[in-house]
Amino acid sequence: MLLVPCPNCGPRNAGDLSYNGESHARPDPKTCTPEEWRTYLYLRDNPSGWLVENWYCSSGCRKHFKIERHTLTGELRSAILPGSKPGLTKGETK
Amino acid sequence: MRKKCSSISGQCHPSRRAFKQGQPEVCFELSDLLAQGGLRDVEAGSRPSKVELVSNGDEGIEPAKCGQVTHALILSIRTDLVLLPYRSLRHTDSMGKNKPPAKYSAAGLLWKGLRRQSWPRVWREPEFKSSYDVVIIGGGVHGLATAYYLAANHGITDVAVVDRAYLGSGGSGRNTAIVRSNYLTPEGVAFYDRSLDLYNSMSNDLNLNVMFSERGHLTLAHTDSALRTMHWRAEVNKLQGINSSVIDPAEIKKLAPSLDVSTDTRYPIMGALYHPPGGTIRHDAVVWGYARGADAHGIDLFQQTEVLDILTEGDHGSGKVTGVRTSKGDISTPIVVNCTAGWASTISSMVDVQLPITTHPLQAAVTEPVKTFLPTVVVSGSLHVYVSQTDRGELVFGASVDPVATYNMSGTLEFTEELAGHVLELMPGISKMRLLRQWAGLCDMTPDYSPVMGPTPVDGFYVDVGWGTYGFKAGPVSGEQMAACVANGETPDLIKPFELSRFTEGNLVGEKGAAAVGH
Ligand SMILES: Cc1cc2nc3c(=O)[nH]c(=O)nc-3n(C[C@H](O)[C@H](O)[C@H](O)COP(=O)(O)OP(=O)(O)OC[C@H]3O[C@@H](n4cnc5c(N)ncnc54)[C@H](O)[C@@H]3O)c2cc1C
Ligand SMILES: [Zn+2]
Repeated sequence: MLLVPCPNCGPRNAGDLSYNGESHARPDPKTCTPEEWRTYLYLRDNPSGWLVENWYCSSGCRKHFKIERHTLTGELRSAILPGSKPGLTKGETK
Repeated sequence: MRKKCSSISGQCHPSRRAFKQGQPEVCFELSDLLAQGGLRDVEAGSRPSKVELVSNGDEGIEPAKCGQVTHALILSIRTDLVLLPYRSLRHTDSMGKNKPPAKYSAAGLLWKGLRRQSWPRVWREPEFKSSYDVVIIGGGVHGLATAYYLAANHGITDVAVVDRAYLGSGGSGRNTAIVRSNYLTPEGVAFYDRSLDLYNSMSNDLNLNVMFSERGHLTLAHTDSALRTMHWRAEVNKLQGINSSVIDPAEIKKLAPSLDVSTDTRYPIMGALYHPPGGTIRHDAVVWGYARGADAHGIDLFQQTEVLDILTEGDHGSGKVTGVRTSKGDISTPIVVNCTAGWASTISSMVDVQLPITTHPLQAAVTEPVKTFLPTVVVSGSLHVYVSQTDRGELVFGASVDPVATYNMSGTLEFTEELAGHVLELMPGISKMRLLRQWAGLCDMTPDYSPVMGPTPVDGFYVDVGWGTYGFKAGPVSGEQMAACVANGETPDLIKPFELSRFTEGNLVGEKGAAAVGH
C-alpha cells in the first residue's frame, strides 16, 4: 500500500486521494500551437525511476500538491504544496 | 442438489500444488506438473483435499474428481509442451545449419511417450552476432510474432529478438488470455478481427496446439448508458460482419446460469453484448509457437539480454538508428522495433521519442479448480471485473488497471478484496471458493485505449506499443502488420490509424467504451 504524505493531512492511504499523473508545465493556451497543447495533453515521460507527480487530497483537505516518487521502488522523497518554495517541476530532482 | 460429474474430457485438473510462498507470480501451472515428474505423479497427484463450494440455490457445484486417467494423458501432452524449451539440444546438421523443428503429431507423441524419449530443444541458444538487419526489443507475443512474420511473409531472416528476462516474461505470460473482436470503432473492429482470423488458423500454421476455446464472450450492462454503448457496439460490429448482438437477462441466464440476474441487486444486469466468436487461448503456447517458428526460419532469440541504449546518429529525437547496446555487447543495425509493452517508455526515451503512455499494473487471480459451470467469458465494466473458467476448471479473474502508475509488479490486498466483493455480486454461489494465487503485469496505457504502431520521428525506430490490457488478442495481427511496415517501409492501411502522429494531430481512436475493463 502506498502512503501518500499530504502536506496538510500527513500520510494517507493512496486510495483516499486522486492521482493526477505526471507534473508538466502547462503551456499558455492563448499562445501555444495545437501541437504543443496536444503534446501537453497526451505525451508523457513515464520513467522507471524518480517522477514528480500531481495528487489531489480529494477526501481530506482538498488541496492539490506534488510529490516525488520512485515508480519502481515506491520510495517518496518530498511533498510540496503549489506556491511553496522550492516548487518542483518536471525533471527536477532534489 | 449435488450433480454427478459427467466430464471425462479434461474439464477438471487432478493435480494442483497449493499456492506456495515465493513462487514467481507468473501463472505457470504446468511447471507444477513438471516439478512432480510428469505422468506417474500426475495420476497419484495431490488435489486439495476439500473444496468448499456452496451455491445460492439448488445448483450445487461439485469439486472436480473425474477422468483422472484421461487427464493424465492430456496433461502429459501438455507437460511435453512445457518441457520443450528446457530439454535436450537442438540438432544442427554438419553444415551447422538448423534443421526445421520436429513436426508435432499425435503419432509422434505416442511414440515418444511410450519410449519415454525427450524432445529436441525448441529454439537454439544462438551465437551473439555484432550486426543484424533488424533488432526487435521484447520477447513477448508482439516481438516474436513480428520476427516470425518478417521471415515467413517477407523473407527477412537476419533478425534478432532480445529480451532482458525470458520469452513471455512480460504481459504475454501473465494475461488472462481472452480474445474477441467486438470493439467500438470501425478501425478497432477491423484490426482485432484480423487477429481472430490468424488465431483461428494458428495451431495449423505453427504446428502447435494453442488451445483456442471459442466459448463466447458476454459484456454485461448494469446501467442505461452501458446498454446504449452495447447497442452502439453491436451495430458497429454487425456492419463489419462481426457476430455480435445485445441479449436480455433471460438469455444471459441461459448462457451463464451462475450469474445473478435478479433485479434486486445493487447493480442489476440489464442486458449484455454477446460475442460468440470470443474466447480464450493458451497464452504460453502462442509465445512458444511464434518463438519456435521464428527460430526455424533462422531468427536469433536472445534471452537475458537487456537493451541498455539505442545508438543513433544525427540529432536527438530525429536522427537515425545505427545500433543497440545490450548487456551482452553492441549490435549494429539500421532498424529497431520497440515491442516492450509496459517498458515501452524506457526504451523510447533512449532515442528521445516521447510516447502517450503511462505504465500501470493490472492484476489477476485464479481459484482452485472445480467442475465446469461457467461456459462463457463474462465481463462487467461497472463492477470492474471479468471472469472465465479454464479448461482445468479454475476461475480466472481480472479487473481494471491499478490507478497509480508504477513499474512495480507486486500484488495488493485491495485488489483481492475488491475483486471478491464484485465477483460475489455477479455470482453469489461461489462464495466459498478459494483463491490459489494472484499476480500482476505491466500495462502500457494510452489516452484513447488504442495502440501506437509504426514509424517514429527517428529513422529506423519503430514502435508496437500501447497495448494496455488488450494486447494479447492483438499479437498475431500486430506481428503481421509490423512486419509489413518494416519490410515495405510503409505503414499498412490496417494500422495507419494507430500511428504515433495521431496524438499531435488530434486524431485519437477512442476505444475506452470497449476496452477499459473489456479485455
Ligand atoms: C493480468 C493481465 C491480464 C491481461 N489480460 C488480457 C486479455 O485477457 N486479453 C488481451 O488481449 N490482453 C490481456 N492483457 C494484455 C496483454 O497481456 C499485453 O498487452 C501483451 O501481452 C503485450 O505483449 P507484448 O509482446 O507487447 O509485451 P510483453 O509480453 O509485456 O513483453 C515485453 C518484453 O519486453 C522485455 N523488456 C523490457 N525492457 C527490456 C529491455 N530494456 N531490454 C530487453 N527486453 C526488455 C520484457 O522482459 C518483456 O518480456 C493482460 C495483461 C495483464 C497484465
Ligand atoms: Zn490533505
